[in-house]
Amino acid sequence: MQKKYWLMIIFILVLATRLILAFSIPNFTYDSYYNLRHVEYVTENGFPLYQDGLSYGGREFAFLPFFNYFMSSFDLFLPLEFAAKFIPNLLLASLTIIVFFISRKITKNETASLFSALIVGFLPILYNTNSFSVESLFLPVVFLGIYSFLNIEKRFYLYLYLLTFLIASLTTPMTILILVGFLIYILLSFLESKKVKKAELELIIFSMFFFIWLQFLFFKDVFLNEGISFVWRNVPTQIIQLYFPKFTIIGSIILLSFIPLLAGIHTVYRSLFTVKRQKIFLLISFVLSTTLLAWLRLIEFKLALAFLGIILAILFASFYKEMANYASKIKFVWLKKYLNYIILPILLITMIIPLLDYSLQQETPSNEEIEAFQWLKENTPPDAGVASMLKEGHLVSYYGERKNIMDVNFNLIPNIEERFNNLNSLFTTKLQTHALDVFEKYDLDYIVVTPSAKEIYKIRRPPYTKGRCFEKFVYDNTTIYERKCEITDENEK
Amino acid sequence: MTTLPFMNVNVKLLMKMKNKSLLFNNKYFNYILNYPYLYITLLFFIFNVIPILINLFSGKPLFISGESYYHLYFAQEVTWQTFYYYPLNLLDKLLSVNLMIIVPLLLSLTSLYLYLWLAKKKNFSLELTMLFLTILIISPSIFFNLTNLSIHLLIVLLTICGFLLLCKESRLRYFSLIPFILATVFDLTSSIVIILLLSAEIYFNKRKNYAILIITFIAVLINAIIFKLPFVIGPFYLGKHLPELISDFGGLGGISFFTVLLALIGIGTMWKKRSFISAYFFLLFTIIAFIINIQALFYLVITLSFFAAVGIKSIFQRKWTLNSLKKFTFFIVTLGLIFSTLAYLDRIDEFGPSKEDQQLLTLMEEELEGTVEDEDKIFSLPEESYFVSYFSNRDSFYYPHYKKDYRENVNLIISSTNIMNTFPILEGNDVNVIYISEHSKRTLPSENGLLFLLRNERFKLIQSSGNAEVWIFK
Repeated sequence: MQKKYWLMIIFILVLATRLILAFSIPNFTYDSYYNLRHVEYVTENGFPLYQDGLSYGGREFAFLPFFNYFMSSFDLFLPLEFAAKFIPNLLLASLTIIVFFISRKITKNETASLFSALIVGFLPILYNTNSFSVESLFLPVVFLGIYSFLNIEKRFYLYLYLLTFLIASLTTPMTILILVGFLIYILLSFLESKKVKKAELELIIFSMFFFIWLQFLFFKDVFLNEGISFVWRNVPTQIIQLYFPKFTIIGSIILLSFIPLLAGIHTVYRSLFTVKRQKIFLLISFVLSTTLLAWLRLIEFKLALAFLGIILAILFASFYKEMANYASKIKFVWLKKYLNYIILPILLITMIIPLLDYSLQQETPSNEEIEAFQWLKENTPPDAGVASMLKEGHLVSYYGERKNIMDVNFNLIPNIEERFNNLNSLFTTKLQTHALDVFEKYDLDYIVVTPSAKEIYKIRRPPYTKGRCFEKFVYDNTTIYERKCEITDENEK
Repeated sequence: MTTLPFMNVNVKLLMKMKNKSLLFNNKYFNYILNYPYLYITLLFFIFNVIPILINLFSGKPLFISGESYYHLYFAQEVTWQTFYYYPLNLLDKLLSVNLMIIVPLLLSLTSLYLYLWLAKKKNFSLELTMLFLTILIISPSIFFNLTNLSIHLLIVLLTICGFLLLCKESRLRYFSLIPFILATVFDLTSSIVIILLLSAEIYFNKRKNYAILIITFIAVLINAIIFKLPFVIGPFYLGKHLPELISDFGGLGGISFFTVLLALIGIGTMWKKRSFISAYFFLLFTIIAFIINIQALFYLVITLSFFAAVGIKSIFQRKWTLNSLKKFTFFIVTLGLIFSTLAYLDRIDEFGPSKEDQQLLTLMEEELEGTVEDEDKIFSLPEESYFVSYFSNRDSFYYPHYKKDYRENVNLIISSTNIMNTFPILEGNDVNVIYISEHSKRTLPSENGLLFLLRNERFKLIQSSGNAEVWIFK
């Protein structure tokens, strides 16, 4: 069978697997509701939601809007909840095709490239099938850009590169990963006395200035208010480990898959110290930039692993080609003949199990929890403030359409740590006066206690809600308490 | 026959002009190179004078830097040790504080013209000179210095005068010693910069002026050892290094991120050229000086602006594969540089004293008569202490440029939640007046620290204007 049919089979297989998992797991991951709300807003109003009256009780947002516009174009003719599951999975499945072409460009070997496509298609770290996030657009676009960069001598690819870079720069600030990679590429080429092509250098210079200018346009206020600390996104120190966890070697190996990781390390070693191929230098530079930025906590750990995983998948093609060449040179000629049959089952076994495990462990709210948040919309005043667990903040504003006390978009929020401590204390404090104080400080009227909150805080109900000050509404396993009292100053009476 | 917009200049005539831009073969670039004085004056007017005029129409005091008020405050009483304040003392008596803005503006413009003259005499590349001056004029840090009373301004003027005299063939060149020695009486950083410049001049020039270098060096030594010159005069504000270097991160001055980036390219591309070697020494020294004292930023900005100009030249002078991409990149770079400057100019009304500050502090003494002693000190945010002292004519508890050990006490007063910590410091230092500006109200926490402590009965509000308040502590 021709290789292109194999590629189509891999693509369809990957897409089917992703969609089956996405639609069999109910709802979306908690963070996704932020994007759902923003896309919905763009569809309805035609411009992004920069002044939000619900998040943090009303705040200003600073973000790049391309993803919202891109998805809202599907929202016009598809139900959003369907599009939000289908399109990101389609985009991530398309990585198989892009990676195939990149690998083919580097190795000139189609079988090796098919293996790369297969690896990237079943890479466990990419199996966040129910996540509706910018990464689903960013990763394919960036790798399409890398492919164009490798073919820069053709004018079509030059324009394709410019287009992909424009999209990536308008999608997420994480595009900096590419720029740092380019700089490392120049440095590596310089150290190895390899000349960077003139056109490549020009594109790198253009990309650098264009990206920085664009970020200053969109994030001017964030830079001014938060200075250099904007890169850590104002994440409260108590939960910084969730966003930038320390590397656990075993966890990373499982998510990147054992075989591509070993093959990648081998290829990097050979390329840097023996073969010294410039095209591989580019990929190695991206590996180094990802590692560096993740180590400096400038990009999220999951994104860094995903990026690394895709590059390792590409490098696997080089490893395969070398192995095939080696097999044809040694006495065991049968090895070359059966190489594919040996590699394929090993790859599938080492990838499918972690993939299923990772995918099925995605944190999504249950249908009952979502119905409880929808209850808020129908049964509470429109200007009510609602407290919920941090990760449920977006559910309050998306389904409940009410003001939340806090969600996971921390940028531009003053005294974030104090707010986070106060939010936690609403679930744990025994002092009713303190709880009422917090309720008043953040203009809150309700607190939603979902089964997840009960489990995390190890409570059956917030201790201070007993008595007349709070009215209880029970919705399945979720309890909603309404504040009925307020603290008054004795002197004011 | 076409003419340039706004200028009645024949294009054919322009083509005959001798200076042609190597960056872009473009008539506008050529025009800049042929009329450098006009271009620099226009640029200076747009980026330095217009923002001042906007402040003038809004009624805000025109000086925004702490350093301006530091000089004005200390120029009120001149002694033989501060003889150099006589001219300022005289001007302070003759002109209103706002009219004195003419002094730095004239000094700046004169320095720019003299530098252009010097560049011509020394046969510096005109293109590089114009790029350098353009980046310099639109830098926030330079705006901060050119439009305020800054000692750096005087030093720059004296240094350029010195080098112009040094260019003379006759014995007149020995007169350059006068400006050089005068420029070394202020601080060590400036003195070292002049020594480095003179050394570079000797290194690259056929005519070796060793005598001038040696005499200037001796003058620096005498100033350093006998008169114990400070390393840098200042700082006049408390800032962090990175935001102060890059204005886009919210500093008072600095340069744009784009300039830093271009400078890095310039540093990376020029390191092999022998003729640029002295610039690397300057860079090293100015970085060290900046790390030691934030006020030395001025020299670092000049050095980085020079490297940024070199960076622009090295990027755009080469032939690009795609000429349209080259033009677009140049457009982005220009937009980036201008964008940062405009974003900075947009913020300048947040700096320095407001109209209310000036009114309240000037009238404060009448209200305080009989309530507090003349020697009693006034407490304000550290960066506001200079204008508070100048307008109120009362000594401040703390100035950022000296008594560095007091900084801890200032932080304690600002952030303490316990009167047992704050009151002994106020009592022990004769601080009986507290000035709360609108800026302090915006930046200080209201639920703890100084603003919270003002609820105590020992504090009494005696005067307010807008959001600014004067409290006495008894």
